[in-house]
Amino acid sequence: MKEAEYIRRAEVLKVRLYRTARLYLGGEHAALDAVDEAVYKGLLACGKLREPAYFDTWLTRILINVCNSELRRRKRERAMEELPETAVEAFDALPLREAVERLPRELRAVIVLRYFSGYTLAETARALELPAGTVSTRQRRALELLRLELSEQEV
Amino acid sequence: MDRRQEYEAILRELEETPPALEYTVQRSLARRRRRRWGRRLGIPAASLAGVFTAFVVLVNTSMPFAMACSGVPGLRELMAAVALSPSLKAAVEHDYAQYIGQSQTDNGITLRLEYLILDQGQISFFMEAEGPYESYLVKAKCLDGAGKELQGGLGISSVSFAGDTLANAVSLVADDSFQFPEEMRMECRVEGQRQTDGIAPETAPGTESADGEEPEATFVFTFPMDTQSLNDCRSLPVGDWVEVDGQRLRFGLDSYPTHGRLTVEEHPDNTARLAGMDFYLEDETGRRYEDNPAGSVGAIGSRRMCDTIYFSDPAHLTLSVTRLEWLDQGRERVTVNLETGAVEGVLPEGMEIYTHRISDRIAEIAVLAEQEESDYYGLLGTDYWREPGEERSIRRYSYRWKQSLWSGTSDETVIPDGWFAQLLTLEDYPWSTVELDLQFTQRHTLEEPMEVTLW
Repeated sequence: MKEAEYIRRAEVLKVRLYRTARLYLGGEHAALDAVDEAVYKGLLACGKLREPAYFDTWLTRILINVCNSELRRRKRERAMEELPETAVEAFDALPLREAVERLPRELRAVIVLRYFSGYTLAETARALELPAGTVSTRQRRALELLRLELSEQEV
Repeated sequence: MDRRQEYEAILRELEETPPALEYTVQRSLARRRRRRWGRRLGIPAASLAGVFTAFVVLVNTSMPFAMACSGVPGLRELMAAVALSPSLKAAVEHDYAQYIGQSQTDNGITLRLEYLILDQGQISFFMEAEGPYESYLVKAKCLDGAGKELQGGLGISSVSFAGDTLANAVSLVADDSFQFPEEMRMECRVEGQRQTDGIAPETAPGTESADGEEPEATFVFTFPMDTQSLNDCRSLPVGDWVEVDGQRLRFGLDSYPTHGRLTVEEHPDNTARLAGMDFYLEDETGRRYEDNPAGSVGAIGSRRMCDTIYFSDPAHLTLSVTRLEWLDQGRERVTVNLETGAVEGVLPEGMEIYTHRISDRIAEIAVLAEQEESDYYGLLGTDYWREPGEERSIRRYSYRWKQSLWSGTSDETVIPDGWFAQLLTLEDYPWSTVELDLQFTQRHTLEEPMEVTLW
């Protein structure tokens, strides 16, 4: 992809990237830093993107990787914040935003992309490099933990 | 509030985005430009007349510019131009900007010198350009109002800019002996540039053009300078020696209104010289001050540029080093046989050299290495190349990737995916061997930053 096209499409996607990072990392500054880092990495690598149709999921995948790096860094600094999937009652007791932020990372990525950033199931699968069936399973499990009843039409 | 209402509230909240998101893409473009040019613009101490030995401790008690922000025309454009630099932004907010507002046209190019922001160590010039090119590079020479050379050491760097928006096109960095004139005469040679794909500009800003290459347009601006704020600086003397990678370093910090300078002193018994360092500073609130800030050079001798703490004045400050480059003593140079590509001396691990002779008098050398974070970095020193008893400056080099070099010849060299090449062209060079300076002999990114408490 040419740099000029990358700049144009990154400008369009940045709000969606921010929403994803905002819920995934749980803070405005951290989200901005992550979007900056992802857009920078994308800028350096855009020449290698051969299929512009996959731009959105490609840059989202970069963002998710950046967010995961940040979460790994945080984990080294302080105790693990994620709750296990078995902690159903604990999820129940938390406000929704906090519950999302404390989902296991693989469930959180799916739920954030699907229900808060507006990606389709196929786009989510592509961004996370997962089979669609796995995304579907994780989505169902995350919604159960969050006690959130949302239909496909609401995405 | 039930789960459904919470969900809808979060969606509404996510509709609001912070203003800083507006400049995400511009920040990325500026960051890439800094990475490309910043390191190569490190100005050797020898090129400055003084070596920053004077120790300046002046608290910010002097009056800043009398000019109030409301008196600076077009402040909105200036604020947008400094949005990527926390230091320059703070300097503008504290009235360190001076409006120039001069415009000239030559050879189809109009150059507008709009503002400068200055302190004792740096002047940042903000310009716009209009003409037939996609970007512009302004090579500037600064004199006093009468046209005499300025006294004291200074270096001038330039950054290619798009022209249609205000940009920090030229920066002047000065040592403590530099005498700021009351009136400055700035001679500008402007070159137009067209976009290339996958190939970085061939010459770094600040290096001379090849012989016979004419600038697209020339301009001379003369303007007064308000020098009331020149003594504003907060300084932290160098601390104790710290062992890093088996070498000893100690650090000090000077904070000017527009930039910071981290002094890195190296112990005389060290077996390797510090060739490069990435770092950031962090205060007690978690606020970070980055190295190599927008609109500035990477280093001046032993001083490495960073964002300033001048206005935030933190209670505690920690230095975090994230990447180091060392140059082992006795391994600084290699000799390359231009006919065979054979190397005398030890190349750093992971670095490969290839050669190709274009004609009897022109040869090319390509140094290949793996990219880091999808980016390239300096491998060989570009200041000098030499036949025994002779020393010259390399005037042309470039960085390349995703292509073959010297296609269709017996020297064809493929740059592997994820690698890059630094390509040097030796002009008027009929000899078979050349000596080259290595940029580093060891280079590594620290998985965990090394932290040093500055205070």
